[in-house]
Amino acid sequence: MAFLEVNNYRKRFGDNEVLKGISFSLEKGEVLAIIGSSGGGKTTLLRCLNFLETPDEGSLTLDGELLFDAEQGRRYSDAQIREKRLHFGLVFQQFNLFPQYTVFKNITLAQTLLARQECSRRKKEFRAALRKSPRPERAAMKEDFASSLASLRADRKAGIERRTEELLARVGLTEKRNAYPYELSGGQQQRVAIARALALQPDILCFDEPTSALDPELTGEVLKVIKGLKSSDSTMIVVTHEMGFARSVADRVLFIADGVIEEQGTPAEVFDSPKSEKTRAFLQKSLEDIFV
Amino acid sequence: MKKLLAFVCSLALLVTGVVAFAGCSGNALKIGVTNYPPMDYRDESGKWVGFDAELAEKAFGELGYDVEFVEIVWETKVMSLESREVDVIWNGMTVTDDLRASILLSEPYMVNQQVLVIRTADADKYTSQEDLAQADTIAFEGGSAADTILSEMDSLTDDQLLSMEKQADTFLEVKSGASDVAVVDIALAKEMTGKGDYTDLTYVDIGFASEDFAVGFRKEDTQLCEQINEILAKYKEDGTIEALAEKYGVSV
Amino acid sequence: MEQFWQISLDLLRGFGVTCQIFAATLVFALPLGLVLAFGSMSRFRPLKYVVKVFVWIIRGTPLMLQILVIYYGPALLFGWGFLERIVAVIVAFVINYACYFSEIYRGGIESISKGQYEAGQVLGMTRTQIFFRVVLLQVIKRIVPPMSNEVITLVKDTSLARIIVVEEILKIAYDYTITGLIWPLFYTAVYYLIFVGILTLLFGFIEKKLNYFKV
Repeated sequence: MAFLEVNNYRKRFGDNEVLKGISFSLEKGEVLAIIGSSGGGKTTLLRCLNFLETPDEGSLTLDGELLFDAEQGRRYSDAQIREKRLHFGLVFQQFNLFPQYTVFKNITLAQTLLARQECSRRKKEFRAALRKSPRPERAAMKEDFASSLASLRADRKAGIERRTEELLARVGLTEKRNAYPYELSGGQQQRVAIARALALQPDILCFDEPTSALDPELTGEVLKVIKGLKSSDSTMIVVTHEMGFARSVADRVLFIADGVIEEQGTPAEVFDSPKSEKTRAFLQKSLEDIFV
Repeated sequence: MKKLLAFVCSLALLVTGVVAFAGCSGNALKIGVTNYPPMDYRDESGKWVGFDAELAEKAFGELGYDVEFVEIVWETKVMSLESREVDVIWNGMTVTDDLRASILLSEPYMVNQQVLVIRTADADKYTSQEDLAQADTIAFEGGSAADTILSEMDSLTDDQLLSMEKQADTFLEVKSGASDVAVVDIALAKEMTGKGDYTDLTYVDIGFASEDFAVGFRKEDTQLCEQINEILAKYKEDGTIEALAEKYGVSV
Repeated sequence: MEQFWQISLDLLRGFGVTCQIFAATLVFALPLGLVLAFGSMSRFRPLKYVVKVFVWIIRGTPLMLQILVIYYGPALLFGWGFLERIVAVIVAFVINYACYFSEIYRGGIESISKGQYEAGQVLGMTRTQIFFRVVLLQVIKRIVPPMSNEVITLVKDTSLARIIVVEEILKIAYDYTITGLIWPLFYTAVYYLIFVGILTLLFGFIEKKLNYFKV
């Protein structure tokens, strides 16, 4: 069984069926590029993977665990969805950094909140345990717990800071750690967004047209960071218009048109010898766009 | 979010808790008044005094009531009475047909007259009712006796008439020159002109028909009204009213 | 001169009442407005429409009328007793201003891009965390200018309390005109101006404090 298996995803908005049964699989460490013209369903597919939309039909298995099944789709609680979401990361076309926080805080915020939730969960468990234990032992238990909680907090804090420094170095923005988003170029903002998504160590990192909102001269720095991630064995799904990039980085390419997978295979198969007429037309058109 | 909701709920409870209902103990009687010298006004210590206040205290005291004065807004006096915010209105109230239709009125205890308030410099200009026509603006209290008189005068146009919230406000109008003339109760005119900031104002009687002052009750309180009528008749007889009128400088 | 100080003090007492109405209105109306804003944006349709109609009624009728209704309404309609005058005024002001605030909040909240919520969601944050950690400060930054307008209007609206004989500063000044003194009425402007001046400085300070980021 593959690392990620998506089975017959379907999604409609009113009368408009955007995904008409999408199935594909992905191995660990692979990079999947999804191409296709706008309105074809690429972004919706990515949003479904990240649980920002709920598919009407289909299921998803990650690392052997059934993560989503449309049969029960409406029955998942908010908390369950949040937990499932953490398997995936998403980098948006418009970056969506939090404007009131520094680069550093943008990256640490979600981790800090998760660590805090962990601590309060521990506290709750401890209180329950305390109620069950005999009175004379309680004082000692309290003392033990307080020190273990303090060390857990310190641990988490140090861990978060260390990882954030690493990530900043990885996207080349160490010296911008205290800058606010509005002080950064689009390319820099997108690199922060990538670091922010990586901070939660998702199993699969998704990119939704990560360079489309950037000036052409800034796309290079972002693509370079994504390429760098490939060499560190991250599993990634990239929706992109950059055909050259898709060809050089992707292990596999998915061409989606009108809500169905029109063609899939290695970059060589899809780009050099497309079987479908639609794929050929699309590739032809993207080539023209580049040279016009 | 839940904490926020809980906070708001507790605030709402607090507000409801603050709701203080006015007690209705047996012999307490609330008299609606406004700041309207020399009939009703507060002395330096904050106690309500004046011709009406003293008369009311004496009359209801004789009937065994504890009198409490409550300041009301004159425009909404009927609402104050109906809602039981007050039980009686005793505040130099002029008898009109409209008023008689909505509340119960005692026998008149005093005669009132409408007079002109003018700048002293204009004293020669306004001596008769015909002279009113030459005023650019005439100020008066909306719904008052002056309102009735002025709107029935054919020689005046609507453009000349300025209906205001309170009689007392009209003095500022005349002093500032915004209006040329004000029409108010004689007692008030006597009290206010010629002193303080109003030294340059004076008043003149141009022979408007006089009207009556009466005490107001809720329609169902006929018994109380009867008792007051008897007492007022007695006070007229024994000179109590005259003595009070002299004390406060009003004519009865 | 002695009279001047005497009257200044008397007006100051009235201004205390003005400040009381002002402060109580803010304390209660600011959170209540937020609740109403959430109600008007609720996905539960009946709640949404009830709140919208309520806001329409309150914003569509004069505050003076609302004060009269709250003070006299219970007695006239149901024969109940009276709220204390100052309490009735505060209740009316809180309801009225909560509705205006709710519209400002709603505008502010709706102006935040969907992307901010989604960014929070994919990072595993709860709705509450997203609202308080991500959205709120951006909303505050956007609503400070319209809020400062509304709050300054509130200072002056307190004079409406006079309609049910609450002894706020303007009522006291008016009473002086009846005893023949006009100047206290105009002198009240000094109190209002000083208070509004302080508020203007305060809002300027908040705006400056929030200038460190851009939305």
